[in-house]
Amino acid sequence: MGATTALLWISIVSSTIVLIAYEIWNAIVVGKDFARMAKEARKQD
Amino acid sequence: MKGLSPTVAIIAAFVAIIVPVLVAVLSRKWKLVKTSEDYLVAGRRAHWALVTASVTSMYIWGSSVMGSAEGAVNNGISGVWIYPMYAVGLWVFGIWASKLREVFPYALSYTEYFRHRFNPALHLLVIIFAIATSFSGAWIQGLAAGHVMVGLTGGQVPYWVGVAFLGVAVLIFTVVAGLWGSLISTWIFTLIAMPICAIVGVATWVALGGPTPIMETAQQLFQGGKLPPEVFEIFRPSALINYLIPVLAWALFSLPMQQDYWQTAFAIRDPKSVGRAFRHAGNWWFFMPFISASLGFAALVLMKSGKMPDVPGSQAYASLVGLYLPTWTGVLFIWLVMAATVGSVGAAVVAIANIIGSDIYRAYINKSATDDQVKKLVRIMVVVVTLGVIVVALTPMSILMVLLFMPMYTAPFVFGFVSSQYWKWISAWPIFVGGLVGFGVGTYMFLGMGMWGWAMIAAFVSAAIITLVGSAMIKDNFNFSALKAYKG
Repeated sequence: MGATTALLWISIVSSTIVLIAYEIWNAIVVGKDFARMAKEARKQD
Repeated sequence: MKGLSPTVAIIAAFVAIIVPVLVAVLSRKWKLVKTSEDYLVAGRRAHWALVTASVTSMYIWGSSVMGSAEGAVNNGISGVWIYPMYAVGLWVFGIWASKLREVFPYALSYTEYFRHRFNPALHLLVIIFAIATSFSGAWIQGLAAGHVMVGLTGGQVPYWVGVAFLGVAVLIFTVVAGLWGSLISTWIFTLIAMPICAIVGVATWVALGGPTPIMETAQQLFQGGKLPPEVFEIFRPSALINYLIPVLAWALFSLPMQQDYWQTAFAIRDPKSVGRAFRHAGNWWFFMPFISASLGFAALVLMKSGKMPDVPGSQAYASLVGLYLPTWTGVLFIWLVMAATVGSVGAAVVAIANIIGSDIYRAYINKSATDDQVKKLVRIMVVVVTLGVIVVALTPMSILMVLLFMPMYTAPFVFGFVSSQYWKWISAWPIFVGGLVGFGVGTYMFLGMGMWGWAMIAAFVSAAIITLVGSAMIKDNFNFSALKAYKG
């Protein structure tokens, strides 16, 4: 039972931390690239 | 305890469709789709991190949110390991994807490799299995969308409504923007869905009082003989054999031959970043399913104790959310799964349309087809395939069963596909014969004998032996520079 409880806690905490961390990193990196694409599209107009 | 109101559920699904509409408008404003290459592989101009997010959403939501909870409902705590293992496939896929970009830099589909490396017979055989694989992937997402609506509203909204919403949303952005539409939509959906996934998971656990009261109830059920001891085994042998082997088989034998993933690999701007995109996506995949799987275990305990009505494993997570959380979190959950399934199905239908347009129409039916003709055909095929997915997904089935059979389509061909990129002597007919024999052996073991995991391994090994022995007897001497020079 102790191991099951520990695994449940580890599952909840690790999942939450990694999901949020990757979210922030990806939003910044890809957001910058889209800003560049939007700028290029405006130049073409 | 009551489920989400049907009106709120349907309004929430409508709101989720706004993202595809915005993406369609944006892609026209930015003039992203001018040629068929733009439509099919995003003009090979996508940032690698965009592909990472897209690949993450492709797998993660419909199947792993709903499916990982199902794994824990069916297998107890050992079920939490099933879905994270899919990440192995992405880590390995990064290696294959980098290699194919190197030997065949201008490919639109991985099936094109079989056309130029081997012969038309093997090319056509692989096309059939490739379409079956991508279609199964889209089918799974369709099933998930239907199960979500039923689970969250306690059956007040019919199953078909979720499937229909999914189909409409997919049509909006895929017809207009193709792979660009899929990449941008899935990126937005990922950014929306990631925090929602964490919030809904944590909030559900908070509503349940955390793992401690669930484990206390589990203890009582165990002492009363209502929960068998194997439910608490962290590595349950039957779960490992029945589920983990087919999961790893999917990761290693099916993923290397899915156009949904290849088209994103071909779309990356810098070929040197292909491996990096899939490694990061693998990390994301690995950690994501744990939270929903842990809630699957909670659902199992609650169902056994009578605190929650018995529902199929596929609907366990959605039912928990609908029953234990306030209405607003149920709305978030609809966005989470609808958004994700929309992106995944979009990628799959573009993949199938790509294969039909590039591999069948341009290669055999109309060799002098103009770019506009190809673009028009693939758009029509996107509509046809999406409608096909809706029709098939209207029959509710277990998500896990459909997913587990997927590797069977491609496991017999993976060895020939990968090894032939390294060894010029691997030849076509042994792969062809090995593929059919492997598929026959594996399908019989899977469907006839119920040996899910071993069936995949048998399919892979038997085909690999025939490929190796046959190629040693009938040696090819392929010149790889022909692939590098090919530009479609």
